[in-house]
Amino acid sequence: MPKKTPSIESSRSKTILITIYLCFVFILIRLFYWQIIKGQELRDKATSQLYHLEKIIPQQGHLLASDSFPLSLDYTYYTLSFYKPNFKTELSSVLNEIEKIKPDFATENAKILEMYNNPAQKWVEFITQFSREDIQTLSSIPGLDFTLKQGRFYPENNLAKNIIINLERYYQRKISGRIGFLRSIVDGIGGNLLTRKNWQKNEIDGENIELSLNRKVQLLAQSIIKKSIDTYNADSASVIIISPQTGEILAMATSEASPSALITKIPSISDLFEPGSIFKPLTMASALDSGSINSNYICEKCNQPRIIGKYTINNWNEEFHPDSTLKDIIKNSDNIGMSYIIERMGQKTFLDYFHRLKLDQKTGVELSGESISPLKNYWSEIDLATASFGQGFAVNQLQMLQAFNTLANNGLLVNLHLTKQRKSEINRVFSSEIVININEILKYAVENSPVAKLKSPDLEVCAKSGTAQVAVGGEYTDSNVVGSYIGFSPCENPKYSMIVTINNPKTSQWGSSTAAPIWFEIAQNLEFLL
Amino acid sequence: MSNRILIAIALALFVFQIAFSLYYSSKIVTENQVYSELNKKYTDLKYENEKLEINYAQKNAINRIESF
Repeated sequence: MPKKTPSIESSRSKTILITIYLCFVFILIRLFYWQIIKGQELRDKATSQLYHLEKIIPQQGHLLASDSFPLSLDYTYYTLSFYKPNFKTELSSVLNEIEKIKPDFATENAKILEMYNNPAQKWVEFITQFSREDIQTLSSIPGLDFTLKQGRFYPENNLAKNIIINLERYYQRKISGRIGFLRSIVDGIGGNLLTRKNWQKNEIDGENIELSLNRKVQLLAQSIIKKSIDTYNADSASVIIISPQTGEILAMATSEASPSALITKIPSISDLFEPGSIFKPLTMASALDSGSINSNYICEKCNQPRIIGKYTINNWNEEFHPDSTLKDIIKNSDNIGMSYIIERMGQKTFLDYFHRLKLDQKTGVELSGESISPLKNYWSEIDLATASFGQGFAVNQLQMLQAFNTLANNGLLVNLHLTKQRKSEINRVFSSEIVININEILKYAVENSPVAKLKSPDLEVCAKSGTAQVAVGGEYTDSNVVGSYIGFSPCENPKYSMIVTINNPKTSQWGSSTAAPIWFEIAQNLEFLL
Repeated sequence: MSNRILIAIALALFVFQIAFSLYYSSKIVTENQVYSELNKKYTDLKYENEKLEINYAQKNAINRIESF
């Protein structure tokens, strides 16, 4: 056996030593790579495996009707999704199982199932809603992924739905509450472990909001309005009913003939109209309250049309009523008489009352989308004359009812509102004596006009009808009109104030023949509800 | 003598440590189980409450939806 020379032995040991050094260096490099370069990523990964961050969804608040009945509720549901790489089961057999629970699943999700066949599409989510019980039934099928979701349910279906959705947006922060978070250490199967390292920020549930909307009154108003659209062959119609003393809105219904109408649009506040003759009692009350005329006023020039410059002011039926008293002027809806009354009052006083009646500002109701029309800066003689019978300026229906309600509320203007928490601001506009005087005139006008036959003898009503032509391209036309009827009942301590407007009725253009019958039909039924 | 005492103390501490860990770990596990059960119960009751609310609303709605 040949003897190993010392040089060979020393070179072997050197090789081993170098190999050990190299291994050491290699380990150092690897450690540097894992601990320094990849360190943060791995730490994050470890933390995410160890800790679990969970969102705690708060319970959303509900909108409650005046009788505390929920008008909106939350419900929990699950949606199904597939991640194709994880989904090894035959699709048709899965569909068969699902259709035992949800027979319309394939029809509802036809488009999504088409997407499933696209190889590029890895993730598909279906629209069908599943309950917890459904999930338990389907739990035996591997690869199904269910996601918890929350939906909104409106128990009263389309009853004031546009108002409810609009209010939910208005009060979104209050209703939604605040999401909570739970950061906890999890065990091997993902269950939360109770340790001191856990951190929790509690969720804050949304608040319930109690509305002044009366479900029964709303349903009554909605059904009568819907029926009236067909009866009068109109484009649309609206009604608002309020409590005169508190300013609470009891019902606000609109019927749009066009199905394309936006669900959240509320024409009663977003659409402007020239009020027409329903404005006359307010002009008269302003003139009496300011002392421009007294209650014994007689229109001596009402025996003929009034000519202002190139314009002629005439009555709706082209009849003239010489020596009209205030009662006659309202009963006959006399434009000529009103134009002389406003002349006595003058522009400055008129605009002062216009402002005090808040017809130049938003009502501030808790709904988004309220429109107002800016008042013109220059008023000619004819502008002032036409304003006396509600033409030449535009208001929304809520503004008009808020202003007219001062006559129902002893001369006090209350802000209209939909939520019970909100307290009304109250301002005096007319003195009590003037209001008593005007209400007597309104009652007389109702009792002595053709609308009297629409009401039962025991129903006491103070109201006024109006017909306003709609300006198209800067000119008034007879083909496009807004018929309206506004008033309250009974005349003393009224239970409700109500405005009805009907847009472009084809059967008759007069508010007394279209809006008034709707008003009285609702009023007769309200007697049993309020 | 002093060595024996030290060994005895060390052993006692060791036994105490093991007994302490066994006792508290079992307690933690039990508490966790209770927590999970209560959590599940809470979720079930919340779901049940939601269903009852919807049933109540459906029954008492005046403009009822027949199917939901």
